[in-house]
Amino acid sequence: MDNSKKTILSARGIGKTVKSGSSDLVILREIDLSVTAGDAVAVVGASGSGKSTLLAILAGLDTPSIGSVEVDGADLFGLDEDQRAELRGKSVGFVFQSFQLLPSLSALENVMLPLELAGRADAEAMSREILARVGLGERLSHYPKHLSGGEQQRVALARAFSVRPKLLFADEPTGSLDAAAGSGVIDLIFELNRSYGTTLVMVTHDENLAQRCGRIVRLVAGQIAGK
Amino acid sequence: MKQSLQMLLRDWRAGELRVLAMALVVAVASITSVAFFADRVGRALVRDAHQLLGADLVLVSDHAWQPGIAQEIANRGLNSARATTFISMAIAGENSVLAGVKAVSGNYPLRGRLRIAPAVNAPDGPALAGPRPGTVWIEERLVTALSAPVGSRIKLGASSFEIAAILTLEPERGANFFNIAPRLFMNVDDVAATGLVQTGSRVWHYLYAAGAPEKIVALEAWAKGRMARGQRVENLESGRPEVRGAIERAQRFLGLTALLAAILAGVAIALGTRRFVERHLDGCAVMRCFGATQNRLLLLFGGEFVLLGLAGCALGTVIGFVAQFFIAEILGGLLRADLPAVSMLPALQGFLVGLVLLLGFALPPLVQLKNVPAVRVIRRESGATSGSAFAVYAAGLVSLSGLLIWHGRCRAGRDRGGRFRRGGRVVRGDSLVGFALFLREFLFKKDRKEKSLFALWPRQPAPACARQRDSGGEPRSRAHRGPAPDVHAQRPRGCLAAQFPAGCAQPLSARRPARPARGSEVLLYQPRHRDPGAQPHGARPPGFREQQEDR
Repeated sequence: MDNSKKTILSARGIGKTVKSGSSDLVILREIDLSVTAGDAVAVVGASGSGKSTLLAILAGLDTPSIGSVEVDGADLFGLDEDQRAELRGKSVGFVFQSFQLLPSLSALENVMLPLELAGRADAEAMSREILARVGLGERLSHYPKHLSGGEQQRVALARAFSVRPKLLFADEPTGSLDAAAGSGVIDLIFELNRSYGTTLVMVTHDENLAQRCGRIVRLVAGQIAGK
Repeated sequence: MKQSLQMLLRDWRAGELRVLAMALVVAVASITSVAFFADRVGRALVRDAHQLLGADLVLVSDHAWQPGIAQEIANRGLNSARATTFISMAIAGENSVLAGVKAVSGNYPLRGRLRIAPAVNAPDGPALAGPRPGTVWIEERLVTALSAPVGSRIKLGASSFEIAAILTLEPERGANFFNIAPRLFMNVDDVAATGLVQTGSRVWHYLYAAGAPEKIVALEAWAKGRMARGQRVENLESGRPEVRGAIERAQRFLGLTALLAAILAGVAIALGTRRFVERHLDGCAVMRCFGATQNRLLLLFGGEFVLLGLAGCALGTVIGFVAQFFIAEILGGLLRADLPAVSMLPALQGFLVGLVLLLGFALPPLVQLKNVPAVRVIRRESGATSGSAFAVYAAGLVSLSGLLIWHGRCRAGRDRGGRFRRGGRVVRGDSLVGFALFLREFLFKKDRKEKSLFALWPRQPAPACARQRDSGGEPRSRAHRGPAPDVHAQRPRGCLAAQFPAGCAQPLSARRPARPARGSEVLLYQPRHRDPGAQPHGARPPGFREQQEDR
């Protein structure tokens, strides 16, 4: 994996405003952010500070009112919706607070999903391997409803890392877990991150977790307060 | 397609498709069983109707046929028979009775069978051929009137004939003045020897034709251009008008039965798809996150539904095929007719109807499924753009209408052979009007009550105004527990904006009037006269008469 110190994520002048009744509500303003490949960045802030909105914009899930984002050299909002989806499929992984596993699919099938969408013929073998790596090699055929929260998040991690993403966005990955399970998941995230050389952008409330990242971006009322 | 098959198997295993598949199978089974049965009954009706005519087409002339006509029927590969009818005196010993004589060729009738008995009150059976030369068949009342049993001889004009059988059933016989006389059947080759048919005799000459419907239609067109004075072409419509109405009514009833099954199928599929879509919104958002383009999602789900449709329609067709035998068995006692063998056209129709219904009612919501925004994985309230509710179901309406038109044309085409084109048109018109009324009455009214099939997407959170009201401690009344529109989210257009004035979480129409306090008076009648107390008990108040008249 290429760990050269090039900028893999760059945001310039990001602003997000939504209509709220007759007035405008500013969620983000003048966000400039640059992330180097291989870095681990924590985005912290109080509830309503715009963390998740910023994450969604950086990942191309949402569009900013103003500003631009470059991911791996591609102008994210110069692309159309489908091109952004293809870019995400190739370069981006996600871990969500609510896991977002498909309930109708087994653990193995959930991990296989992004690989199948990418047209990988070895989707099953790769999925088995990475599930074994996160400690769920014996629970391949289990459905999400039969897994604990920590196990579900491990499946989600396996799914996120299965496509070997250059950039991993994690939205409160321990937000739905107890302390013990959360700690295990965090250890796993950093271990996989190091192993695959992935760049990590993580939104969290947890200051201790943020401290484990190399860099902390603090959002206050939609603006970066400290870097 | 491989991934679609995988998704189909996974969704099936998870039970996501069972409701939809069940709806489809039941729908197709209903449609095909009714269609199979209707087709068999329809063909039996037409067949039996032609038996009442004795052929598929009859040419009638008040003078002898020109030789080319009979030859033309043979040249067209059609079966033909001939007959001559006239009234004559039948004599047996001292008794004589005016008889309606029908002299027929050996292969008469081409459709249906005459029934004869060996003696009066003896069991009868179908006659395999007409009377042999030198013999006659007579009705029972002729036997009585002439005192001439089977085996005795009867005289017609210059010839004498042996009574060979009692005629018990002549399907072609209609009710008119000339048919009042008791019937006597003889062989047409014996007519000349009787000397009864001479110049000026009141005689009708018939040519019968039977065969493939398209050949009959062609012959009819050909013959109509060659009819001379005193000649005409008779089909069921013109020859037996009393039969036409009965068949039209039967076909309309069966057609409406099939239509009802199709409408129920559409509703069931729409409901099943709605459930499927609701349960796949999150999954689609996740797939969008992991790189699925909109076209990819559409192909995946479209392929999945096509495969589901093929499997469901095949199974439903098989079940319908089996079920129609039970229907025929149950109703066999009522029909009193042998139904013809099953044709495969209803199977094809049912299969295609199922597929078109599924795709017509399911594809529009699936198309919308691809529009689920990826950001839904973070903000769950972000739904897909629902678009126009009518547009979503317009495809289903158009599909069903197309099917009905096609079905009507099929029947009209089939009926063309049986001369019942008007019946097909009537059913088709009824079907379209009926379905439109159904949509208006059921779907749109439901929509206005916010229980609509059109509500494709999960309801959005209550708007700020509703949350503020709740947080302010005001108890939420039952009337306000209904789903509320989100001012930030697009809501289905079926929810009329006029019903949601600013700050109102419930349509005004759904609000209940304030219930009067206990003990308060509820005026059911409001007299125009404002002083009802002046009226004695039981007297009509002033204005009552005027109000009655107003009503």
